[in-house]
Amino acid sequence: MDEFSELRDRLIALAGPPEPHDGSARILDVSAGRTLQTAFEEEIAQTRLPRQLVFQNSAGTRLALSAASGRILSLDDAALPDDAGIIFPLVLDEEDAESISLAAVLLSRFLAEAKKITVIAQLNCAAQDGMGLGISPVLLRTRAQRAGPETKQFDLFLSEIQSHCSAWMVIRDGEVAELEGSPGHKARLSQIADTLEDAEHGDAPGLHCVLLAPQDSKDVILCASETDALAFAVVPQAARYAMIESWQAL
Amino acid sequence: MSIKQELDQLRQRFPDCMIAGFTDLSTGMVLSASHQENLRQEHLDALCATGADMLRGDTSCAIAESLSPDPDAPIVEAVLLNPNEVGIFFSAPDHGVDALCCACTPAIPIARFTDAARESFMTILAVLSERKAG
Repeated sequence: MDEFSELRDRLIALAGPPEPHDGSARILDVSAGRTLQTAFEEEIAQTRLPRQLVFQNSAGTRLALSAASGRILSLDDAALPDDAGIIFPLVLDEEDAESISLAAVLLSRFLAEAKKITVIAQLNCAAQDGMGLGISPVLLRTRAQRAGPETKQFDLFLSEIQSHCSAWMVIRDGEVAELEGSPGHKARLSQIADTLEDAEHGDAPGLHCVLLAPQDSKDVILCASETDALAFAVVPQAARYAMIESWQAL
Repeated sequence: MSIKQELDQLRQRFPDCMIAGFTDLSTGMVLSASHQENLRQEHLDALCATGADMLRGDTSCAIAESLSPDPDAPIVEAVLLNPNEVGIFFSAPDHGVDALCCACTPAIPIARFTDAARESFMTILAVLSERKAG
């Protein structure tokens, strides 16, 4: 028995038998999971899938998973997390009925505990194949987050900076998704993006807005973030407070 | 006027400023602070660490380098808006290690407060400079 199978068996024992689903969890049973994947098939096909997913539960345990294989890439706590749900993406093999069943059980717990778990990084991706059952709920959860008030605030802020700033850049899932504005400022923002990549700043979760004013500069940098996106804007010194007050007002 | 008195005055003018701390970025120490009662030292330390990251962290340095005509120019002002708290940080120009770190409620009038806080910070730096000269 290899390490993965052994761990999976331990998880089966840990998870126990499937629990009855309430309305919100109904999507989590095996058949509905497949239906759901079908319904989102086109959307998923157009989505750049993450290569790696990193989760952190309320106890601070971090778990990095390969999105393609579902295997654990790193687990910073030697002990298995108490929250069994965090481990659900381990099970991705659609051909393996036992795995799918386990996915349903663990996934239900995962979503039940979703408030305790934060997706803290979604690195870049290209893997379109190898997408198993497990990836759908991850994408769904991400979509649910992006529809929340935080995303609305972030998107409204993007509209603001696009209207008022000389240049801006949006990084989604670790890649530059938008880079617009005057050539000089775009070059500066690209420079910042390179630095971020080097520093792996995808680890910063949540919704924040940061203003940084360098000495002797005509402009400041405004950075807004949500869970899986960052926006940088070059803002004239004189307008800096107006912009962050507009963020507060959103 | 002492540093503490200057910080107290700032907070009296702006009740939404919960903590105002004069800190040394090189050591991460809060040298003088004005705050509400029962504040834990860990909170002060965390504020100071956040300030150091905002003002002298790798990302901040890279941003300063990309934006300022002087590649060695530091970040001298940083504002961090979180859903429940606003952090406002100032560092001394010319790579000084002194900094003013403030934690405020989201209701703080940022533009007015930063003007006042920067003025207080410069007053403190001037007092320290005079003491050293004397």
